Amino acid sequence: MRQGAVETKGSWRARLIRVLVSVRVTEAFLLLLAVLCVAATVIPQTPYRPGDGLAIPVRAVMSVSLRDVFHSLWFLGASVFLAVSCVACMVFRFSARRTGAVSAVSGRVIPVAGSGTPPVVDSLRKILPPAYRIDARHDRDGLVAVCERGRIRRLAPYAIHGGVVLVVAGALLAFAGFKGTIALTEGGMKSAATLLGGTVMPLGFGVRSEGFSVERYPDGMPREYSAEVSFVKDGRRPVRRVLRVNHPVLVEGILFSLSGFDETHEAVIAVMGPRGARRFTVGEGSVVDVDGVLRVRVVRVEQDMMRMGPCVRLVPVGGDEEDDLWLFGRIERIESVHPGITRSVRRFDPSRYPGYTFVLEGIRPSYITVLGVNRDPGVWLVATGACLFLAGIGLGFLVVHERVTVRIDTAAPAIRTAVVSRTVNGSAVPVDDGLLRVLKEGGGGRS
Amino acid sequence: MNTRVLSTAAVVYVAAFALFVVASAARKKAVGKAGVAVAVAGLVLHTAGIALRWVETYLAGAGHAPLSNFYESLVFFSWSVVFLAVVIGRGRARSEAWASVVLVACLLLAYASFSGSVDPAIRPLIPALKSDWLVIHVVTCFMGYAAFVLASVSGFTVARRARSSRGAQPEAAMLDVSLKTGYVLFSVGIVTGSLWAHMAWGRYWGWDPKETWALITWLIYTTALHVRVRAPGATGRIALMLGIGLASVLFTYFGVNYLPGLHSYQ
Repeated sequence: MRQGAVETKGSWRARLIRVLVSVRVTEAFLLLLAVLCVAATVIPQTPYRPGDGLAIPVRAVMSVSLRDVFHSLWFLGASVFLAVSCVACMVFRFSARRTGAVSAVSGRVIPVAGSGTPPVVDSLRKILPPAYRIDARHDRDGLVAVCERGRIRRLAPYAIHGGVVLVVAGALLAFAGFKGTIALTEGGMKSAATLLGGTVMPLGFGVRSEGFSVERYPDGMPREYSAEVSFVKDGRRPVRRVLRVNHPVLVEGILFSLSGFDETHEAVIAVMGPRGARRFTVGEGSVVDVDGVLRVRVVRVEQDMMRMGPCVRLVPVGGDEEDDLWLFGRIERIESVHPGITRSVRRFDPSRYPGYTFVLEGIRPSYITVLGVNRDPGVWLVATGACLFLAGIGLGFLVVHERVTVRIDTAAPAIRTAVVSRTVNGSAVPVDDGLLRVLKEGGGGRS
Repeated sequence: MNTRVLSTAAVVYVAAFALFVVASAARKKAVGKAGVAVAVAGLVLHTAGIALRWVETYLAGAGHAPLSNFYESLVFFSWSVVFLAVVIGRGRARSEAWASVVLVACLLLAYASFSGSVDPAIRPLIPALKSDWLVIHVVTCFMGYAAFVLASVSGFTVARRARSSRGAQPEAAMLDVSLKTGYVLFSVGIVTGSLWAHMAWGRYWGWDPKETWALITWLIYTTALHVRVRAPGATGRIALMLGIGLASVLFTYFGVNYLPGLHSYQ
């Protein structure tokens, strides 16, 4: 915030400083940011993704449109302007304080008989509470005594504006990081995160799911869930961590948080073939390589297919969709109700593929752990800025800075006058009559 | 049981409102003082209702502070408005300001108690809400909202009295205190919310509609504070800013429920 006069020379530099420290301009930019935020919640947003591969002219047009407000030049420009304005305010305020422009003395004029330093200071000490720091000194015009309490409040504008600058700088640094997700099946491992828009970002190490557990309320709603995850880096011992909601872990500068889970099912399939029997545990999308000759893809896993029990649909890899096999867990029971169905409907026959017989042994629930992955190099800057800002508004609003200034003109030969002023948080307020009386009576008569 | 106590508190606020209206119209200070006593009685009942609900969440096996759903937030919001009015407005607020404050509290509580669309049932928490940040974040945000309501009420009173050339010194002091209190609390609310989001979702800011509207509210009140410092006598302008700020507070609380996001109550 601006206080005091701004240099009024007509140079472009002076004009620029006037604009930067102008409270009116700051208010306009704050409201501009608010209006842009409103636009972002009203206009459907289509944020730019690096994976979109837009041509530079299209991207340029997008950066000035309101289709992606938070990455638009308007929003970034207004934020940067505010940060620069905050810096200018701090510099201006600091230089104004150094040159004394803020602390000019004007106030109530009272007659005093003398001007000796000890009596004035003694009088001030007598009347002012002990919290006041009294600083008395002689200059060429006379004696100046400055009494202050709550001086720490003077740091508030610096903390507030500095905090805002750090938050904006930290938020801009986030552009150098990335944000995405990793979905891990139980026992599965991935070494790259999927960013918004589908771009794949290598992490430089592997993340493996070691297990997932979920506790539920009686109505089936999750009460608590956690995932055990290993971080595997070449040549190092895997680091095993348990992730719970609200308890993220930081690995190699990347924050991993448990953002959710998906429930799915896995089928246990036994296959009898020319080379003996094998058992597979598979989920939707998996490929079962029976013996290098027959390969089938698991297209669907159902716990209860049309009230006929558990079922898996298999399609030969590279084969026709019509050659699919609907493998039922209770095929004998279905056969007893509909005799001959496995012969009349070939896709229900577990021995459909010559030389092989499939058996669905069961279906069990399986969980996909969804991890939030975020690398944000600016997060500590933002945290520091937020703390500084809160400290600043705490100081500014809770601490009272009070100053009593007494200037006695020692050059006057007989009747000397004292100029007494009092400010509270920078605003002039009336001086207490008690203080004036004490100064009149004892402010210099015994010098 | 807690809902009955809270509904009774709403009725007590109606009585306080009636007394303040009479005190303001008839310019009877004694009636105004009686209104304050009734409002304080309503606040005591309101506090008891919240405490009772807290106990009942434990008895129901849910065991959490009553700040987790729309009903509980309405109840706490209205409590914050009256509580801050008692703390900040004591000796400053006149009957007309008090009337506005208890009317707001009463409407919020009545909406919670008597609206069919607000479910008062006690439900267990989802895992993301099981955090100590729930209490800190929600309390600071709603106390901030409540202080902004008080700032608006006193801002309108100051502007009206300035136009009619009547002194408004106590309301001006109430405006400054409530505006600053609201700003501090709401800023703490945003920062604690960011910390919680960092813990729960791995990022401190995600431009969710609630987050965006909280920023809009914060920007508006930052502007209002600058206006107040730059032109303390511009009562009309500050009242306008506070009016816009109040609309933004209401949208941040109610409006974003109709936008898709992580903070939606419905």
